[in-house]
Amino acid sequence: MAIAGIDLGTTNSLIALWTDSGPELVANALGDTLTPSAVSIAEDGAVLVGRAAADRLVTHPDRSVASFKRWMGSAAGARLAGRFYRAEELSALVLRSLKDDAEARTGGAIGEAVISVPAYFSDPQRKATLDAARLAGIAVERLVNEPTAAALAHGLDSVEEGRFLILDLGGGTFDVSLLHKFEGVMEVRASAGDSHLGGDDFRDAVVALIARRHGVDPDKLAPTDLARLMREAERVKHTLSAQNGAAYEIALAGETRSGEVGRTEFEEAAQPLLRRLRTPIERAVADARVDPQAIDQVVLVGGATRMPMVRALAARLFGRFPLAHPRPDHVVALGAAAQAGLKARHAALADVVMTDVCPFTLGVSVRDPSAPDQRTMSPLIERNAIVPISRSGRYYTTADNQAAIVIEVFQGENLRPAQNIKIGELRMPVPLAPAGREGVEVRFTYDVNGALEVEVVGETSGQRERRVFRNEANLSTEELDKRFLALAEIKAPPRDQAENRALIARAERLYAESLGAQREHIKRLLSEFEIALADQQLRDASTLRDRFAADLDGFERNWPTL
Amino acid sequence: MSPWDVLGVGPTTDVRAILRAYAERLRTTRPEDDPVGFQRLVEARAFALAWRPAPAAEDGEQADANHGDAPPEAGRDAAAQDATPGSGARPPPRWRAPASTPSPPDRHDRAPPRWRAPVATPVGPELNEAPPRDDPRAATSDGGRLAAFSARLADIAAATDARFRDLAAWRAVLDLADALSLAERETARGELAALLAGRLPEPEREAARHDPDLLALVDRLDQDFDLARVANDAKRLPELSRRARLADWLAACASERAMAKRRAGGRDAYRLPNGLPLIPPEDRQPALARADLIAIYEARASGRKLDLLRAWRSAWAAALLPGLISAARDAPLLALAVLSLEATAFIVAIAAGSQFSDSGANALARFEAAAALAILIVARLAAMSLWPFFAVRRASARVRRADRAGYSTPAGRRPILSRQLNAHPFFGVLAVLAIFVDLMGGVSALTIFLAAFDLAK
Repeated sequence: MAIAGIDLGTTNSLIALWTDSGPELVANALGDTLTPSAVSIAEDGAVLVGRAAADRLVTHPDRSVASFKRWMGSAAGARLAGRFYRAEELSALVLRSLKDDAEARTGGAIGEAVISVPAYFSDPQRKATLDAARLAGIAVERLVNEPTAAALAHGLDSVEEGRFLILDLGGGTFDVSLLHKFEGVMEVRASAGDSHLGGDDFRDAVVALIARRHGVDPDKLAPTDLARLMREAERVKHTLSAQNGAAYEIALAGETRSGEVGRTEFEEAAQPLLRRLRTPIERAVADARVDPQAIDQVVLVGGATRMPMVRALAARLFGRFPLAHPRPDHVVALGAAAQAGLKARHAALADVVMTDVCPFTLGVSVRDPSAPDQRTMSPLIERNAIVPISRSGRYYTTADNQAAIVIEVFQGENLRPAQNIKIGELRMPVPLAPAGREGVEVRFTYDVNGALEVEVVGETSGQRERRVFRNEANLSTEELDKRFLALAEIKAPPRDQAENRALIARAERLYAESLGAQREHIKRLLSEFEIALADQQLRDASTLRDRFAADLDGFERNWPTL
Repeated sequence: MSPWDVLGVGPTTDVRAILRAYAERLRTTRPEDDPVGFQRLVEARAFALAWRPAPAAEDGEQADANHGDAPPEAGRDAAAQDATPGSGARPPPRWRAPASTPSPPDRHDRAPPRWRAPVATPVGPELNEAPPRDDPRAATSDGGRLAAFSARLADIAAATDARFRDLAAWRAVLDLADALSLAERETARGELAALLAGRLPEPEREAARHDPDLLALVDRLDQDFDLARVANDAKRLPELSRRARLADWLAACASERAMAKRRAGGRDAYRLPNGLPLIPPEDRQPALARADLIAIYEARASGRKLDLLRAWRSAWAAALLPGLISAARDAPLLALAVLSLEATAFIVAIAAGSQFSDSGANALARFEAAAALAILIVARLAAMSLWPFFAVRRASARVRRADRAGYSTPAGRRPILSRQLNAHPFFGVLAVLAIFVDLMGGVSALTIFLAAFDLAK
């Protein structure tokens, strides 16, 4: 039975296996380790996941969806080809594709698996992730916070002990974690992050830059035009990491626009984003009560840290050069695999103990006559407390002959409960008595998975109630079983066809992005390929495929000057 | 079982020994297997790291002395989840003398920074070339950046109010701050706090809330320096602690804006596809309170009774000088009402007096004198009985105003609540007027009444 770690990301997902020699990434059917977190329903009803689906976002926006991780834990979803898919189901399709890749690699089933989730994920969002794994037919018992996974991967890599600050700037989120490694113990001292700051925001800065230059309003563009503009901006952003300028050419509303974006120009446009990067860093360092000078090493992970300005910011803040991880996109998946290895008590990790923190404050709302809405937060578990942790507090009635005490559980840092996220509530009846005479003891227990159990005990009655909260938006068990069966019916195309599908989707996308003679050229290439596929046995398709891929490569390399 | 028993090490201040013991115990007390034992271990370590031997102890960095007889410095720190060695006690605000205060020595077994990265590669020095040469960040040296920031900040501090609001100047300063390191930023934040503390005069604040320039500056300041922390720093400046604080106001303003933003963000994130909110708005009052809040609650509930009792006890004072007492008791409207009643009584009494003839008072004069006395008595009774209600209403209006201004914590509100009317310059005028009218009204109405009914004889 293989042990796997899965990084279910906003833009890309990865799976890594824990082997005797350490974590090892698994490539998908296309030979890439990164599988875009996108799902598309083909015209024949087959489900496309990954690169093919991401390409179809441009050509078939009504049948394709991406970035659905943001909906986890809510009832939101997308309607694709006439069927409504919840975020759990879409994630399950991605997970299933990853699982198929891993099983194709090992030839056996996946046993233990750990999925990474953003540190700020609340209880319902974590449960939605577990539900997605269940829908995909993967037994997941353990979730790991993404910054923790990154820290673990780095901590295992490095031989030195000390304090490491790990900055993880991914596609959609920014996470900071402070790892203290001593005597074989890996202790996460603090996690902080910005859940709406990532490489995508830098891309949007380029989009805004280009749109402003040509007097276009990105909000008013047709979906296909916007998708094309975003792809072009993404390419410009990548080019600017290596060069001082990047040329672009793009057809918007039937008109070809071209120009060049300079690096300084891009950096000025991204200045507000860089400022937002600083806040979580300062918070993590302050929460861990560590002097900035006492941090031994600053480590950059996440694809977006390839941008020179992010590296320069880290260098400036700490007055020294940060370490750039050689595989910034892979770190979280490698760490998740290591966590899976830890959980399975793999021999290679026998000496390692990992401790994590709860990245947010958990508390109950209490009556406070001086507050505007008469209630304030009473925190029980403070953020960045080491987990597992159990804390209790006593609460009393505030009115004479009060019949019951309602415990409302909140997650968040704000003094006002209304500004925090409500997790759930419990009602405990108490005997009638003057105000302040009757009370309850409330105990919060937060476990290593990030699940919160609330126990309430009546002081005089001794009555006891225990609750693990589920959001109403989470799926019920019966609903899960039903959807599992429904999903099992949806067929993914056979693995050996995945590559053909991806090539066809890519050609369709190139067709959509180009005009005139170029379109004719692509159309000819594509129909030649499709005719050949129909004629040939699949076994012989690989040479055809290689030729077609080479053609497309050549086309894209010369783009847009062909 | 003492924390030291849990750790399996004697009382010591040697951080290394504590961490080694902790790591050893951790192997048998894994968080997944024994959550209770693990929590005990974590708390024991927090206690051990915060523990200091009794005063006479030698003050050595590596003092490994086992002060077995020294009582641990109470368990107050045991609750603290984790204390950092070396920086458990925060250094004093460092902006006072940035150069002279060395950063606290690190007790931890930190290896000298001879980092060998097995896999990771250091970001090359080519980054130095990343910013263009004419960029001030690249041109100035390390210490120079902070000095440049301080100098520009001092310029602004010395400026007139109009310059103080000059957004471009602020932007230039904050751009300089972008290039600071974390440690330097702490100093910079302190300097900013010292500047902002007490900068704007009181009356200007409300108007300033609607000044778009200033609000843009607030946003930028908050983004760069986290105004809540700036305000916190400003509170630590003793010489300014009693003065009006711009920093406080700015922080409140920023948190209000941030709250509105978060609220909007939260609404978007938790919305169903049909546009309905996922989490229904709360319309029910929460019905519980912490023990410590109950004390406040009760004091407040019984506070009204206390005021009434005090009102009765000092009723004789209100009977003598009703206007003055109402004014002093934070009920200016009542004071004005009482004073106008007394003034009326005075005028009526004079009118009655003017109709006296040699033969004594006629019927009209007697009626007017009686009316003047009645008005006087009504005014005094009103002052005696009504002022607590006026005062309470005024206090709650202050609470609401404090809320709007963002002073949400009881501690933040206290200065506003305790600011009595008698601190107002208007109070002096009112007090003099009140004494005059109280005495004149009372004496005249009474003498005329006595004269009109020949009671003086």
